[in-house]
Amino acid sequence: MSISLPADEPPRAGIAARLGGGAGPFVLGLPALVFLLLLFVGPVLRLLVLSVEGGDLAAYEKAVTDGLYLTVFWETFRIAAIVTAASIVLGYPVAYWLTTVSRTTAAIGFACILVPLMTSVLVRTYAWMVILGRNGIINRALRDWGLIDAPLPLLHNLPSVVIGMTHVLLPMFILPVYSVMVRVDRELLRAADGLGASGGQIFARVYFPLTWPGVLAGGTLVFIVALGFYITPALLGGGRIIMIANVIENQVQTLLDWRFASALSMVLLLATLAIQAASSRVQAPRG
Amino acid sequence: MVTAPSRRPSLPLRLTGIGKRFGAVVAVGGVDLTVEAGEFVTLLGPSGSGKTTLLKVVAGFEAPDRGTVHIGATDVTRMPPGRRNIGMVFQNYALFPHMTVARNVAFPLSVRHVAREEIGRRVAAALALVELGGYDERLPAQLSGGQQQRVALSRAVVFDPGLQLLDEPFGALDRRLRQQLQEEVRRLQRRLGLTAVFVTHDQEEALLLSDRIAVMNQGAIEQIGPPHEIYARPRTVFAAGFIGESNLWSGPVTARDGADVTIAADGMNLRARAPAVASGGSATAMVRPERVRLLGGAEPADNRVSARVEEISYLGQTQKYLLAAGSRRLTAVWDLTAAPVGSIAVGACVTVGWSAADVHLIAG
Repeated sequence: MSISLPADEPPRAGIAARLGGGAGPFVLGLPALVFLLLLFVGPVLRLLVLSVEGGDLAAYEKAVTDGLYLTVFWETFRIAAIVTAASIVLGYPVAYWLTTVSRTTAAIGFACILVPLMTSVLVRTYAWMVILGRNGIINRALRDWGLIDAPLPLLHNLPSVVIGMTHVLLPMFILPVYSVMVRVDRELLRAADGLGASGGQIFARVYFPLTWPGVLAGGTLVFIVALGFYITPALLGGGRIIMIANVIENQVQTLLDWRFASALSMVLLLATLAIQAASSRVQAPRG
Repeated sequence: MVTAPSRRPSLPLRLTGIGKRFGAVVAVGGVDLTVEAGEFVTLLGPSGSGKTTLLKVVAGFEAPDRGTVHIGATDVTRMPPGRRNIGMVFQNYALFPHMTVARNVAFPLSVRHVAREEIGRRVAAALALVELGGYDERLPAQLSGGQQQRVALSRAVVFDPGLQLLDEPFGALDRRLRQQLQEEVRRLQRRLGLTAVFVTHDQEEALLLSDRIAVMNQGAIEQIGPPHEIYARPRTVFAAGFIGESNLWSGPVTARDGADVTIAADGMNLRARAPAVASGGSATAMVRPERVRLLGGAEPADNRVSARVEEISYLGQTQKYLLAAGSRRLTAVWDLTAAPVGSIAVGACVTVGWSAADVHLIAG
């Protein structure tokens, strides 16, 4: 998956020439290309072949017509959308804050963002189970303070899945948005200020449109990664929240229906590619 | 052709005792300055002289530690930038890259909720003023640097600001474009009767554009006056050195003879016409290079020096000569009728001189 961030045009020609002409960059990219062909394109093609095994599209027909699977697809997209929205609402102010503080504070802030990113998803999800569980930290505290008699059902529902997924994905939103925000020329904000715009107008007409590419890149990244989430909905959803990856796993592990699992995977892949294509066509809002 | 008659009038600017420090550094130390309505005043000085800080105080981007800023009759010292109704032009244009030219120019109007039809009319007029009609739908990135700065200029006048501020607006442009835009800025400012404060470190630019120049140094205005006065009669050695080239010698005033005085400077006796300077004090004598004349053998002059030509620079209409008389260095600029190209070679000995009236004395 490629997320395109606006970047200054690198001096490609010069570097390519120094590395030995047109073939140079290709040679440099070769190991990665081989890696991707063997470990990504190969398996995807294998899935494609598996999904049409028997020479018909029956598996696809089932995937896109059966109400059960349509519901799961719908639920998957809905959760991904909620998580994306939550990431934008929570992440945008944090990214902005990081652009306004001193270098030291920003470094500490980034550490706080990156350390969770480098922690296993499994660990972080279990941590949420410890926090949200029946005898988890929150319920225990509320009971000790006498605020509740019976534990609240904080786990195994949509909010818990959204919380867990947003926690995992938030850094992936903050980083691209931050990278766009730091490049916004402060003089433009000053100019808008001087020309008579209010704080709200400066944000709506200048700052937000200028940072929109970052929001789009970060949002697309979060949405696409969220579509394929497996561990978090499995553990925090407790079987009640089912996303498409859980269904695919179930088809493979329990029902041993590789053909249908492959068809579902291909549909998910196509949906992902479609979203990627759509997001690259979205125009920045004009002030 | 343009909406000049319907414009709201430009306003005078009055700064009183403006002081601003950053930590231990005094950026601006007690500046008083009045700019009349419709006047073009340049703040001229080297970097660190406080000119940009002073401009930011006027614009509202910096709050002064003390002093007041009045635009017209209104005290704007504590007013946010947007409420001051100032048209500001930045060095890097500060055009909004995601908006078309028309939307950029419309910005100050649309944030003021001006009616749509009126915005269209005024934007068209403002773009016509800078000869950019037909560029409405371009994005800033599709324009040259000069065109971008013209868009910025028209954005800064479209909303009838009481005052226009220009922060080194030509710094990023090449020489030719800079000259074109200088003329354009001056034309626009005169035509619209704008009160303008212009910041630059380029003395040529200041001389060309200004009604008055305020020479700034170390956070203070050293001298303020019309360009010809600043050039011919600088009040401080700094102003003399910063504007134009000059030959400067300092020493004690040793004798008075009618209106003339004699200064013993650098081992020579300089005669200067300075009725007001008292004998006994010390002074710095300034002679502009174009006032230094090439003398024939018997030609009389108040001051005569024999010198050797060290260096010649060809400047087109004139040539600049670096002369050495003993340990003294002296610069002269002669046009091609006074000294045709090739008539004087490096290493030649020449006699030069200047009249007492061409010596400007700076006390101290």
